[in-house]
Amino acid sequence: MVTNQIQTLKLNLWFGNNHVLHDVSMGVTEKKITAMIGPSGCGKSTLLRTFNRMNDLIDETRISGKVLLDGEDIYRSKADVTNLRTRVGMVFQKPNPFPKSIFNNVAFGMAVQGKFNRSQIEDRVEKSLRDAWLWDEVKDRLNESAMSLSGGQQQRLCIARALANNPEVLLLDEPTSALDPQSTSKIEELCLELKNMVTILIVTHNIAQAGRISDYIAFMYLGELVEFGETNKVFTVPQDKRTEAYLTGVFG
Amino acid sequence: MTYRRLKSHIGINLLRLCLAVTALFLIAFLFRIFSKGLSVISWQFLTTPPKNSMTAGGIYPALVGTFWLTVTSIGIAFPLGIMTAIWLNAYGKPAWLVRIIRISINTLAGVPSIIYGLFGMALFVNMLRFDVSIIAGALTLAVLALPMIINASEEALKSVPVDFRDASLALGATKRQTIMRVLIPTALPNILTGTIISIGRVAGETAPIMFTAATFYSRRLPNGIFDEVMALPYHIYALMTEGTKAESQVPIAYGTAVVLLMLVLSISATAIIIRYRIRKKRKW
Amino acid sequence: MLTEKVTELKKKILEMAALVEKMVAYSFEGIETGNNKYNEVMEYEQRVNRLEMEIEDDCIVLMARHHPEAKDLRIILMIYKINNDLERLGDQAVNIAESVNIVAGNPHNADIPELSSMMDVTLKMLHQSIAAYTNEDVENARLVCRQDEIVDSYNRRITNQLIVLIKENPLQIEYYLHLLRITKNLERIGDLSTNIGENTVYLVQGRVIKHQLENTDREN
Repeated sequence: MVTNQIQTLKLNLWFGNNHVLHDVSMGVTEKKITAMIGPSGCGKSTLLRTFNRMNDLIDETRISGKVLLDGEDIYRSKADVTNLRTRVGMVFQKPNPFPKSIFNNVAFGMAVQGKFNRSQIEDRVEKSLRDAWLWDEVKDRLNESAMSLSGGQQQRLCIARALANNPEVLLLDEPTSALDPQSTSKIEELCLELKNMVTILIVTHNIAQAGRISDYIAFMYLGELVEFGETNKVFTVPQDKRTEAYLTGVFG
Repeated sequence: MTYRRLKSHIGINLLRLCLAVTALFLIAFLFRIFSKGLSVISWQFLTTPPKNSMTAGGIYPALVGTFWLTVTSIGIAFPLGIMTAIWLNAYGKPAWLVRIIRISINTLAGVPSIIYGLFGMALFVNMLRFDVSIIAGALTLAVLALPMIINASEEALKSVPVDFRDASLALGATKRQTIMRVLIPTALPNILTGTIISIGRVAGETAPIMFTAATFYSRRLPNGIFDEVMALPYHIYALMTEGTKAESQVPIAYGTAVVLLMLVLSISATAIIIRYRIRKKRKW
Repeated sequence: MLTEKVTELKKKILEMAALVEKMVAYSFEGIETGNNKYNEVMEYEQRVNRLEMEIEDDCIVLMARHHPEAKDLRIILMIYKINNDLERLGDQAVNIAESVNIVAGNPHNADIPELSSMMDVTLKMLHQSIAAYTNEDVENARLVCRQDEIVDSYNRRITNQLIVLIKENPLQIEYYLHLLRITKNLERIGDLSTNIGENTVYLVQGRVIKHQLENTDREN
C-alpha cells in the first residue's frame, strides 16, 4: 500500500459553536494534484487551511481527529508550527506579494528562517523564480517593487515565494479566481509542471479547472467529504448523487 | 436649466464659497503675522538671547528650548505609542483590558491642555522631583502626544491588509517576525503622518509647559534635561502679558510667532519628505 | 494541456488504424496464397479490442474534463467514431480469416476471377481512407467515398455469380457460402472505409456528407 503524504483521520473542526468539518478522512498522494471542490461554505478552504494550521489564527478554533503529514500528527502538542509552514507552503486567492522588492519577496521565507547565507538565498531566489516561470520576466528588475507586476505575475511571484522554502506540499486557495483567463491558464500549466516536485492541493470554484489539472478530486458538501477519487472517475461516473448534481450544475 | 442642475449648481457654488472663506482666513492670518513679524527677524534675532527685560535682543534660548522639548517628547511618545498600538492591534487580549485602554486613550485625547500642565506639574515636577525642567515638560508633552500617535499608528496598522500577515505567517514567519518585517514597515508611512501632526501640536503648546518646563526669562541655554528652559510659545505669551513696554515687546512677539510657525512647518515638511520617500518604495 | 492529450489520442488511433490495416491485409493474403495468417489476425484482434476500449475511455475522459470546443471537439468526436469503425473493420478481417481457413488454396477460387479485384479495391479504399484521415486530406477522403459504388457493384456481380455457381455445383455449397461471406465482408470493409472518409471530411470542414446530404444541398 502506498502511504499518503497527508492523511486526515476523522477530522472535525469547530469555529466556536459552528461545526465546520465533519469526520473528514482523506488521503493525499505525493506529487499529484488533488482538487477540492464544492459549493461556497462547504468547508473546502477550511480543510485546506488545516494542513498548514492557518486556522489557528481564528479565535475559538477547536479540532478533533488527526492530520498526518508524512505520518506525523501536525496537531500534536509539541508540533513546531513555523517549521510546518515551511514544509507546507500556501498561495492565496488574491495575489498578496509584500510591498517589498521582487527579490525580498522571494527571499522572505529564507530570511525569517535565518540559517542561510547571502549566496544561498540568491541561488534559491533564482531557482524559485525559474520554477514559477517568472525569471525571464523579472531577472532585470529584481530590486523593483513587487507591486509593479501584473496580477498574474504577482500570483506567480507568490508561488515562487512559497517554493523558495522548498516545501513538500503546496496549498493553493482559489489561486486564479482573481486573474484573467490567460494568467489562469498559465498558472494551470505551471501546476502541471510543479507536480513533479511538490504535492499540490488546490481549492477551486471552477469545476472545469479541477477537471483540467487534477489527478484526484475531493468533493465537499456541508462540511463533509462526500466523494474522493480519481478525477477521471469522478468526472465521468461519480459515485454520489450530490457529486453528480454539483458537477452537472444542479446546485453550487 | 433643469431644477436638478440648478440645485447642483447652487451646491457647488456654496462649497466654493466655503472654501474661499476658509482660505481668506488663512491668508489674512498669515499675512498679519508675517507683515508684523518678518521685519523683526534677522540672524541676530535668532542667535542672541533677549536683553533689557525682553524689550530687545533675540530669542535664541527659546528656539533651542522648543527644539529640545519637542525632540525629547516625541522621542518618548513615538516608541511608546507605536508599541502600544502594536499591542492593541496584534496581541490585544483580554478584550476587557483592551476596552479599558481604548477608553483611557480616547479620554486622554479630549483633555484640555492646561490639565496636562497641572498633571505634569503634580507628577513630574513635584512627585518625581524633576523640578521645572526639560524632562518634566517633555514628559508632559509626551502624554499629550501619546493618544494622537497611538490612534494614528493603530489606524495605520489596521490599514495593512490582513493578506500580508497571512502571507508572512504561511511562509513560516513567527508572529514577532511578521510584526517587525511586514506589519511595521508597511504601516510606517501612515504612522509617520500621525506623528507629524503631533509634532506640530507639541511644538506649539503653551499650557502643558507653563508649569513644567518653561522659564519666563533666561539669558543662557539649558545645561541638560533637568534644567529649565525658555520655549517659543511661552515666550510669546510672556511678551504679550508681562512687561511694561508694549511698543517694543509686541513686534518681538510677532517675530517669535513667525519663527514658531516656520519651525513647525519645516518639521512637518521634513517628515512629509521622509514619508514620501518611503511610500515611493512601498506602494501597494 | 488539451492539445497534448489530443495528440496522444491521435497517436493511439493511428496505431490502431495501422493494426487494422495489417489485419485486413493478412486476412486477404490467405485467399490468394493459401497461406492463412489466421493466428496473426486473432492476435491483432486482441490488441485492437484493447486499444478500442482505451481510446473510448480517453475520449470520454477528455470530454468530461476538458470541455473541448471547435476543432478539438470535432477531432475527439471523430476519433470516437473512427475508433468504432476500426474495431468493426477488425471484426470483418476476423470473419474473412475464419472463412479463408476453409477456402484457402481451393482451386475453385479461379471460378470467381473478380474476387481478387474486389479485394484490391477494398484494401486500397481502406488504405486511402486511413491516409486521408491521417493527413486530413479532404480530396482523397471524398475520393474514397465515391469508390464505395465500385465495391457495391462488385458485390452484386459476385453474389449473382455465386448463386449461379451454387445452382450448378450444389455439392460445393459450403465452399461457395464462405466465398459469399467473404464478399459480404469485403463490402462492409468498403462501407466502413467510406465512413472513415466521411468522418474525415467532417473533421476538417465540419460538413456532413453522409447519405448524399451534400448533393441535395447543392441542388437546392
